[in-house]
Amino acid sequence: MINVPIHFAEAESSASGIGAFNINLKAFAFQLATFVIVLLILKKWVFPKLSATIEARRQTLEESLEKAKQTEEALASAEKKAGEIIQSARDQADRSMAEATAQAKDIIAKAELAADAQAARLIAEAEERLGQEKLRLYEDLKGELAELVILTTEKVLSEKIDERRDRRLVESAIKELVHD
Amino acid sequence: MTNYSRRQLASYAVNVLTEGLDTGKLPTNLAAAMINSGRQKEVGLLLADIDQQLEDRGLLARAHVTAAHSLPERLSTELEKQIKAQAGVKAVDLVVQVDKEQLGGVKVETASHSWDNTIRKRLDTIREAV
Repeated sequence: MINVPIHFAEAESSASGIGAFNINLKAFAFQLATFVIVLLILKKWVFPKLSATIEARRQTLEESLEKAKQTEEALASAEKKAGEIIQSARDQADRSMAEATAQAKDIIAKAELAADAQAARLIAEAEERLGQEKLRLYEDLKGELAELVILTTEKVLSEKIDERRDRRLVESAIKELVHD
Repeated sequence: MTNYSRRQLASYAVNVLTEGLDTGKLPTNLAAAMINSGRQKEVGLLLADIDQQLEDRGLLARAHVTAAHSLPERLSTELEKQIKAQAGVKAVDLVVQVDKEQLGGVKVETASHSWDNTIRKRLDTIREAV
């Protein structure tokens, strides 16, 4: 290659035809042959492998893209299903909440009724006990009062009835024997 | 030895007393009958049965009289008269007992009859009624 300027110089010397371009035909032919050989070698051993590699990578890329697409679709489907599940769960939760609320109201209403009945019963029992206690106290008081009156009467009579008055009582009692 | 009932023994005693039989062995016979039947503790009841028989036969009424004060002769006589009439007996044996608790009036008890016209009785009746 060092001598290229020389060849150009030589070509420059033959000024007709191709020589007007200062091209060394031998060198050109050699370079062309070399290029062809290299091209053949590349075509024979390098290009197929390179093409196969590129093709493999292309297929891999396509497969990856396909898988990504499938994944995306699966993800979308999963999201859709998840949404449906969440919505179903929300609906179920709403129904459960409504049922629980209704049951709670029912339980509260029943408890209130039971409490009212219990309160009414307790009040009735208390009133009955109060009445009984009042009656008992009244009877006790009446008995005590009567006893007091009787004792007082006994005391007064024991002082007032002397032998003379007692004789009149006995006479009256004897007469009553006739009527008995 | 036959066991006689108390009523039979009382009837026997009244018969002896009223038919003019010998009464000398009557207490002994009655005591023997009671002892033989193991009823020594029922002597009081036997005497009560005799009183009952005497009164039922119209012979004698033993009247237990309870009053707050002792009865004068006039009232005792009047009382005997009334008891005779009411019990239908020929004679009355008054057994008077003074009990201040009676306050006033008189209570009469015979074997078959009872009259209580005391103030105590009336007060007790009021107390029970109240």
